Amino acid sequence: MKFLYSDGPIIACSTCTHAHAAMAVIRISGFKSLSQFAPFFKKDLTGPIEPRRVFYTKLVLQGQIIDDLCFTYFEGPKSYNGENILELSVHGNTLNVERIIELFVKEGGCQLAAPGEFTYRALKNKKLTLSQVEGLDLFLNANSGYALDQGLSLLSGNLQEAYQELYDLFIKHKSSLELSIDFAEDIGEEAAKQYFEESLEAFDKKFQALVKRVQPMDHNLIQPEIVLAGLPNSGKSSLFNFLLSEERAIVSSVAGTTRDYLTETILIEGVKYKLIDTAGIRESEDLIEAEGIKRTKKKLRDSFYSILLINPFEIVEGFAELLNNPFDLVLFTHKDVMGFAAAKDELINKYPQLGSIGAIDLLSLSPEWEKELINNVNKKYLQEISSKPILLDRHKHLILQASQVLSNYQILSKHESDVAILSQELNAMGHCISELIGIVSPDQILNSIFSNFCIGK
Amino acid sequence: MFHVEHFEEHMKEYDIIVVGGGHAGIEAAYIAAQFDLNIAIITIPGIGLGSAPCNPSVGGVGKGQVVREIDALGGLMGILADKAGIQFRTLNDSKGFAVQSSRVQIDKELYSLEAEALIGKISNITVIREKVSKIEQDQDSFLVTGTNSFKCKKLIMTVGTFLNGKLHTGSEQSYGGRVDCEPSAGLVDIFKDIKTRPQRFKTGTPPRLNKSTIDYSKLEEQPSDSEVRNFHCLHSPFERHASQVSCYLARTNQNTMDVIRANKEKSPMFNGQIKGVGARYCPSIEDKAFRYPDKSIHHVFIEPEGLNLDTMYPSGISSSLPREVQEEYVHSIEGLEKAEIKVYGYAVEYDVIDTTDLKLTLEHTQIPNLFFAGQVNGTSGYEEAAGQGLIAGANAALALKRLNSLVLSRHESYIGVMIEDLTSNTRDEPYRLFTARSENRLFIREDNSLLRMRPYRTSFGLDLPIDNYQAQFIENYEELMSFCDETMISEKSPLMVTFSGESELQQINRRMSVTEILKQAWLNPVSTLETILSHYGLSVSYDLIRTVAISKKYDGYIKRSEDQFEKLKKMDNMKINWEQIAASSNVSFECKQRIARIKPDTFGQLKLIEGIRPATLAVVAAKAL
Repeated sequence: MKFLYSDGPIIACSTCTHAHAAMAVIRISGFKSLSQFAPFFKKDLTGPIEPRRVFYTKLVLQGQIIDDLCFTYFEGPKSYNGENILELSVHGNTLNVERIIELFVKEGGCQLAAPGEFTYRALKNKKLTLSQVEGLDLFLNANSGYALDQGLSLLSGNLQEAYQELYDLFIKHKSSLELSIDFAEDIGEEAAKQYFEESLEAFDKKFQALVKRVQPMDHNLIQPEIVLAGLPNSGKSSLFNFLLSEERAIVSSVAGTTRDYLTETILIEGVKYKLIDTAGIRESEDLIEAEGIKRTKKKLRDSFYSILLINPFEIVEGFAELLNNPFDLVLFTHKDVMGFAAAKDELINKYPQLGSIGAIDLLSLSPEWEKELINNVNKKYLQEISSKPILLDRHKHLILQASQVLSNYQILSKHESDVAILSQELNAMGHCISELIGIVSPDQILNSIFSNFCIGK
Repeated sequence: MFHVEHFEEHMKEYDIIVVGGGHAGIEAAYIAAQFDLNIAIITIPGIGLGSAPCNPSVGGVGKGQVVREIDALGGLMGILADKAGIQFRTLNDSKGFAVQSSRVQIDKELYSLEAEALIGKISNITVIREKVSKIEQDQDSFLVTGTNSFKCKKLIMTVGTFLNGKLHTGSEQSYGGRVDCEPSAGLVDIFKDIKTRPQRFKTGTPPRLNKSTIDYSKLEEQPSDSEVRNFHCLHSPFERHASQVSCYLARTNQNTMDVIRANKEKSPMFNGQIKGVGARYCPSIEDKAFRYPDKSIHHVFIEPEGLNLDTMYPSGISSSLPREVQEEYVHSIEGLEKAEIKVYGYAVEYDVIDTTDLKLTLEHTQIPNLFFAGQVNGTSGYEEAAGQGLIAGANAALALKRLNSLVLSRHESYIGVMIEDLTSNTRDEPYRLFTARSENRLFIREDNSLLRMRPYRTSFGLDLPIDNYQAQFIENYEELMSFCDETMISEKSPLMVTFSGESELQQINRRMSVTEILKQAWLNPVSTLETILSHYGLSVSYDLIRTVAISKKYDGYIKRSEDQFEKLKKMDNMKINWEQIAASSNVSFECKQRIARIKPDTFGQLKLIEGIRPATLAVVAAKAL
């Protein structure tokens, strides 16, 4: 994290994909004055340049024109991260981009930016709050339309607003408690009690709405995972490859070839999923395979959607243990083999829990079958985002923690007459909420009291 | 700086001169005199020492704790309040020990007489009744000039609202610190080296009513509570020194507020005649009418000003409206229909100094040996003034005795909270203590004020009756604390049966130490400990039982609160760059102005600035979270 301490000018290509493109945007941030780059530009940069306006010019190296480009100057502090920023729209050939960056590094005193450094500076310069940075990260790296929306919502939208409203309601309730201590005589006990109860109710209502959005689930929806599990040789890797339409996993008929798990990304109805092929679960002397088994279990626990593949003719030791994991779908393979139905029925009789999971009998890996699977996965996804879940772990954790504190506080507030003790319990909740968005100070409480209540004699 | 070549030889010389004989002034002189120094109080002729021009009461939420802190440090206020107390109450009686506070209505005449008598008896305090017109400074002494000139090593300014004081009743204006008093000149005229703040402060008083013209049958009576402990630790706990009387509760109504709203343009506060800033917590009746347009019912406490005085103080309706309007709104209140106004209400505007120029000892940072205390520091309230007076007086004396200075931690006392708040930030309005200002409310209680203040009092190195009492108290305290830890009571003891509550969860079903029993949530620790001690045939003083029982009860909570405090302190100590914050486009204009004026170095200081928005703190805090 060395970049946390550097504050000189930094440069990076903001659009680079390591492939040639028609154009690319290079961003330079944190320089003192545009004039320091004057030698590289045909346009005179020593005079004033109007910010936020696009100019066309040529880039010059030792008297030779190396590219023609458009640039925009954003003057700090009115810029994305509060610093002076120069954006160059250049031709997108990667060699061209590299040559221009090298020019600014060697001759212009710039350093290559570390990942996230532009945004870190925005945080440092108070242009963004931590929540907003988290939102930005979610937005830029979103794997689904829903994550994209939530990223934006955290950046400046209604989730940020919901936190702010929650915080305001917390301050109101906290003031009502302080009111009953410092000013009960001024406003009367009855009124103080009423403010206390009303403000707690309002806070609780808002808070419970937020708690509903924190699903008590282990898997995350930022990058949902589809996990394939099954006994060795049950056909996981074949399915994996089929879904990816490319030969990636080592497909072999020797059991236990896939030692750890393989990961690829697949797109289903606009959502990017991680597709994971696990190792076969089998007791093994091989340490690596044992580790693989452990990871499989963890992967299954954290998965968004888990598929169990079963070859009813090859049930070995460890199957019962595997069944202890939760599954969304069971695929019975080898439907084409004689005696499939009988073998399957026998298995379901022996392991009744199998009967309660949705099952597909697989004859072959066909597009029709794939469609059915995709529908299943998408249905689950749509169902889960319908409650507008909060995606970020830090936020989920804080909200759940505050939820626990709130219910303790509500019980306490019914029978504890010592207001100072009550107030201390409330502070614990304040810490959670202020971590979501801000900090509470005694003066804020007093300010809130004075603006809402008539105090004094 | 204006230097005097040489002061006159025959001039009377003192170790410490206190300018002002109000609550801050007499407290400063009283504590300093205990150090065997020569003290003079110079005060305006015609006003008794320790006079109470505003509310006739001492104590209150947060303030009761201050009075007991003053008392435990060897101060004066508790003694005087007990002697002149005519109605005692415990505020927040049902809300737990930590926030319970005592308040005493005082006979203001008696209070001042007691102050005169007590100070008069102290041979090393001289009271000089002159109006100070000039103060000059030589190398290591001050020259204070009124009718005569006096010299001192340490100077304490407790000049209250007298600096450039200006009174308003309607369009009538006069000069002075309060009604019927001669005005003082501005501080700059008296003392050229001191700067006052450009923003003046304002306070006000209600009209005083003729006692015999009020219909008490229409008001709610609030009698004196005989179970409130006297403030002074050496006074017998419940002995009353004066006859006890009642206060009464009246209420404003729609008519009252209509009268005020109809006369807005006649109010000096709303027509621009008064420029000073008043405290939000002490609003005038005009403030109430215009700031809370939907409310018409406000409490008015009718408080006796003295046993032999014929006036009542209607607390809650202070005003600077013209006389005829005051008549009209007073008469609109039920029970006051025929009330005769003896003295009309008025507002006073006065100069205050910038307390960020003061050290935690209340000594001026640029002018050594000069101290400021009381309302001139922008505080309101007799208790706040007295607390500062004690700190200034003690530090002036300690410095002369070459002893360590007295700085109370905000973690241990309300006085400490106040002085840190005052010296760390410029305030936008008069400052009053609230319990909400303390981060350690569970610990800063009335019942343990002696424990909290004892180490500070010990550091004075004095051997007065109060010191002996406190030493003995601490010894007994330690003994009783050990008794509680070491004494185990069997679940079969008949005592335990009386402690068990009704619900199943509240049964005591094992052997417990007395300490554990006192922590049980459903038990009142004080009466429980009383019962246990009498069971063992032990006779222990009321004060001791209370201190030990409540300390035991809160023990666990206080430890938790200290953990929280440590966390916050870490955050508060975080260095910030105020210039950067003031330049940020994410910070509102008002916040920027305040930040640029106060220049906070740490997050803690930023937080203490009044009126800083949560959003600003969130933006700044994001870096540390």
